[in-house]
Amino acid sequence: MMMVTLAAIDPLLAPLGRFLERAASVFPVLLAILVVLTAGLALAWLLDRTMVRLLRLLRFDRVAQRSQISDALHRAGLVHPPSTLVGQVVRWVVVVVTLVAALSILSTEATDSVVAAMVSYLPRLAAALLILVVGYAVSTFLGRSILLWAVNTRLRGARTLVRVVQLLVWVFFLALALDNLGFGRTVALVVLAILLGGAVLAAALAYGLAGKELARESLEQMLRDVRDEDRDTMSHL
Amino acid sequence: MLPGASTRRRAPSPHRARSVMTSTVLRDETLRQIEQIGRADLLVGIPSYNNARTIAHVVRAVKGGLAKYYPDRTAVLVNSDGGSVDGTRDIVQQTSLGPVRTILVSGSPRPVEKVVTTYQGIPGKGSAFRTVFEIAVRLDAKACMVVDSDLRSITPEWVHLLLGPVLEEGFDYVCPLYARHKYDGTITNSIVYPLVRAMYGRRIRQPIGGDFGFSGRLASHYLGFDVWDGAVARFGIDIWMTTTALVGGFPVCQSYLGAKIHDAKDPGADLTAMLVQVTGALFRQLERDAPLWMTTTGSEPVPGFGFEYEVGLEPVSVNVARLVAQFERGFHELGGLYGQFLAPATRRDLTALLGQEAGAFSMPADLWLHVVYEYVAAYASGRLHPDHLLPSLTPLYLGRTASWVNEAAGYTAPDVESALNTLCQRFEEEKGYLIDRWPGRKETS
Repeated sequence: MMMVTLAAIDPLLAPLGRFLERAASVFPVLLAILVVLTAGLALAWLLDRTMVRLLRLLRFDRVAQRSQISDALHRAGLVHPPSTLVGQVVRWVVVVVTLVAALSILSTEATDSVVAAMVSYLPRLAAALLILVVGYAVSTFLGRSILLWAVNTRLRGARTLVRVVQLLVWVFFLALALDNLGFGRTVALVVLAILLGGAVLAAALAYGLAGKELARESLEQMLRDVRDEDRDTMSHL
Repeated sequence: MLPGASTRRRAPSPHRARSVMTSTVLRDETLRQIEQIGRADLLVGIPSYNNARTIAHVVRAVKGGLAKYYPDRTAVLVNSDGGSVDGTRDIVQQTSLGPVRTILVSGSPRPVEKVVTTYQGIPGKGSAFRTVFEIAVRLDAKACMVVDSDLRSITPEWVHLLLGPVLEEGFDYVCPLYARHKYDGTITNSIVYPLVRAMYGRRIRQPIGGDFGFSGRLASHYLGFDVWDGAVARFGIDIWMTTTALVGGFPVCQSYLGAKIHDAKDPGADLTAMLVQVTGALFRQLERDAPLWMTTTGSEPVPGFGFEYEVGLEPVSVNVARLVAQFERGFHELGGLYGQFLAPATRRDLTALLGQEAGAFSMPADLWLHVVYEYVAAYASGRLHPDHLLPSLTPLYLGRTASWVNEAAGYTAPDVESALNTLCQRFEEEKGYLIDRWPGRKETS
């Protein structure tokens, strides 16, 4: 009876044994990858903090302010000090190197091909990153300009308008970046077209049909405001 | 001798010797006309843009003033137009003084030459003035004046009051002094006058009055600057002329002209645009002149001309509730932006103003001067783009205006001057607040 049972489960034990055997051989590799990743990420964090502290000790932010680098970043809406930005760049470089090192544990050939692909892809990646940075700066600048214009002309829903415009700018620059990277071209363009077309159509329908009363009230309020302003005869200059 | 002339304090410094006639902003036909005229003792410039309704009165007043006070001098009237489509230039060409007996002039005064031209450059008052300056220099004019084309209150006496101090008393720059309604000229009263007084140490009551007298050599000095592509080309020209004359060491005075009544409000005159251009030009000057004003303490009056008298002014209506609402909404919406350059204490004090009843709304003088000084420092630091920094002042300025309207409701004219004097004294006393925040001196708290 016992023999029968062993004979029945033997086909199951054999593959399980092979699996455990392979797992035992892969486990050190996985462990090594885990150790490399942990150490790499910790090193990235440590280098980031060290770099920021070192730069602050060297008064890098003040030097950057004097050379107007800080101002340029500020105007572009990048509110972090330059030392923090340098620290983050260092951190991400170490993270990428760590990932490549972890990959090399698995296979040298794979690592070589990945490194080669990365090197050939770097210019495109850099250009895409630059496009995104420019997009961020443009959307921030445009957003502020629109907010100020809307506030000073007493337009209602200023913040909503700003968000919509910033979203459209972002999608536009994202489409450019993806196009530069060579993938997702169609998706990004379609999303942009849908957003733009949809926004115009939705606004027209909402304002003209569903929001007919709201449209009338808004226009009346705007005219009332203008009439009120005309009644002010104060000369500011 | 006109009163006050003996009190002028500075000798003129040698102005920037730079050839200004190597290039020109004048049209060929204007150059030919100037060549034919040759030279002139006096020049009156009138900038215009679609002012057909009012410019004839201004031209008549100017010609009357020249006939009455300077009948023996050669004079040229320059209309520097921005491309009017309502026949403004034709009206200037056709307008004559009529019988001079009506203004008690005997004999026949010299005819006044007219130069009617369309200026080149950015559309604006500054570009129009640049053309006037160049014509003045080419004609070697001794004394010049500029007056707005929408004035309804100009009289022939203005010509004497603006040209006289230059011709007869040796001044180089004459600022106007008007009787104005207590609610009018709020940009002047709350920003420009206090800053000019505290920074440059001269009590020029209306530094951006709009109508000025100046010498030919000061016109030449102005042409030596390359500033004609920004705010100075537009509304910023007035403050630029005043501060440039002060810094250049040119003797400055002011003449009382009575009431200043404009044509009906220009619907195209946008408050934010005016505020941006005036403050932009002033802050830029303050940035340039920092070494000078940091060492200037206190202030002194400038010599005055003209016989002061009380004027019945047209009533001014203001909707305070709307001003307060705009302040509150603007402060709420732009909070993130203010956080980048206004001091935490200033933001806290501004926040405390929210929710006040419109009729009792009050923005204290010290809070306002901190706001203004922090804007000047922020402009100089360049941390925020001027296109974002300057328009963000509008809601705060409207709050201060509402506060002033409430405060001055029961004021007489002397009360108004007394209150403004107190405000200006606070600007002078607190000047260290700006110096502490000046870029490169100390980190902004």
